[in-house]
Amino acid sequence: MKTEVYCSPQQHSQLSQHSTGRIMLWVIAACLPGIAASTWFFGWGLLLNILVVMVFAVLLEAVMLKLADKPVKTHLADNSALVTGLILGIAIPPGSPWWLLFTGICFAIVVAKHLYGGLGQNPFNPAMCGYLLLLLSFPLNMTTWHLPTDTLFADQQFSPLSWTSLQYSLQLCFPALAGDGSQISEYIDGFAMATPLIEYKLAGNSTVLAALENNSPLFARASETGWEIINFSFLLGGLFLLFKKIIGWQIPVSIIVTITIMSLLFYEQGSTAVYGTTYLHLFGSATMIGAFFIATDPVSAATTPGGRVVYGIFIGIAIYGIRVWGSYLDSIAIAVLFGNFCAPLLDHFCRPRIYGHSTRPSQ
Amino acid sequence: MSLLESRARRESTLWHNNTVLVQLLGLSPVLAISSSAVDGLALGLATLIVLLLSCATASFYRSRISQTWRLVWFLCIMAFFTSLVDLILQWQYFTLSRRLGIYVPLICCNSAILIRMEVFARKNKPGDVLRDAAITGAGFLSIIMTLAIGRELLATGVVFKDMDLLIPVLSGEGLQMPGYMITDDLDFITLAPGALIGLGLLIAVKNSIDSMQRRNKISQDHPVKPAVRARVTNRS
Repeated sequence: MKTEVYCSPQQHSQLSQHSTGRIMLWVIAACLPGIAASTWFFGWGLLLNILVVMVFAVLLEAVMLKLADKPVKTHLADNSALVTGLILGIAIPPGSPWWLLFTGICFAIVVAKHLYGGLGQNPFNPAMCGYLLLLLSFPLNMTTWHLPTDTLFADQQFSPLSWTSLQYSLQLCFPALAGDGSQISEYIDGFAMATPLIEYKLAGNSTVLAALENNSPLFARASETGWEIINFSFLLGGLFLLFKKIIGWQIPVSIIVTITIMSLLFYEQGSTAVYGTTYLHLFGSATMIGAFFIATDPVSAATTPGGRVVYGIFIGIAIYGIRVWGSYLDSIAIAVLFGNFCAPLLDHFCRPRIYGHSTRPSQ
Repeated sequence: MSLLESRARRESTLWHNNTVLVQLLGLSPVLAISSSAVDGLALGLATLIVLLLSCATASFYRSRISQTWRLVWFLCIMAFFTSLVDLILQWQYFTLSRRLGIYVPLICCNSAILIRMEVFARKNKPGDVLRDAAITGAGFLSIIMTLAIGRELLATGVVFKDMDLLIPVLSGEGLQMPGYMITDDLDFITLAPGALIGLGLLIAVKNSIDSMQRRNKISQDHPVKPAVRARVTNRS
């Protein structure tokens, strides 16, 4: 016979289905299809990124907990550092050197999370703070996708999952491994690729688009189809989180609906202004992971149901606006931080009616 | 008496009454100029000189300066010495003067100097006033230098670059930090947010050292006697 343990809402114990550690593990699990698809199409770079960032994240989290005189083991068990590392690892272009990853995660965990008081106290999404620091400091590294310029029209075709590909990725991440520094430039992580949206923005000088037009065998697997499937995998993971009731439906739905409406309104077929189709905005960019995994961060997002809808609309407008009229390539990080700024105000104005009280504040 | 004044009125020491860390006065040059060590040193020294000379002058003429018009007098004195320092900088260290830009002329409205003149210099003898001004200026200089060295090191991996602009004997190449991996400049640290976060961290470190000292002092003055307890359960 099975005995179910019921906890009062205020008692989040390890027994509860909704302990923080359990929720964070589900979030990681929901990311797995997307990561697997990405690895299948583009190689080991992303997986390596995520692993390195996660290791750094847990180490830094332990150090900060120790400094703050908190019980290290109990707090590490909430797995929140792992999720921060996961999101940041997905956001940073694969093939980045380890110091770039370390700088980003250091700012995310130490400054954006623990200096504000640790889990539950941070007003901004730590992973996106780390990402934005990197974007502002190293714009070159953060927009460099290791494109196979030299071997674009070569005959040989790498498999993204081959041993050589793993070696290339490792050498890009740890330049010391390559030994002689001059060799690095010859190794190409030929399978990391910016999202089609970014390729679309850079349309003029994009090597990838050129390769796609020439039907280069190099991109037999890594075509735009790859990105569609990756985004559908993230969508699948997000729906799984919705089904498990780990995230509310309001934020992702309002973000996606807003972007859809905006891109329908502003799209002009054949216009010289390059705004992109709705499909490109939804499935050819980072929209899915942004809407389901990044914007729904339970700490920094709005918490009231009405507030969440408005929060999602704000983020959707910001994402589309910065993408189309701004100079940044993709805009999830800036849009989510903008939403974080608005969240306390939204919660203040969208407070739900408490049972037994009137909607007007009591005098 | 306002909080600001009561803080400034305490005896000036490098640690407990630091203009930047405790009084939080004169922050704009600290934040703006602390991105490299040579700029920080130059501006800190310029501020120190203006502070010393203006406090001494205000103290020397303290019986002549009328109570009603004292702020105008103080500002005039500061503006006079600031112009002097600015002209000397332009004459001898032109490159450095261009790098510091508006922040040298802005010394004449530095509130850290004004408050020393207001609360101390106008009531005391020149000897005491010089001592007070030297300590205040040294506090300002030490903090701007700490911040500048830290930021320059983190951002570029090199400290004391272009030091020959201020001290021609030294080389302008600076000291390379061994083991620094980042190949590009970490622009975030050189920009405004790096300055704000850095200053916040310095204040936090200062406060934490203070509270640790206070705790130690309390435990020294009132040592806790270990309680002798009867064992009430089976577990140890």
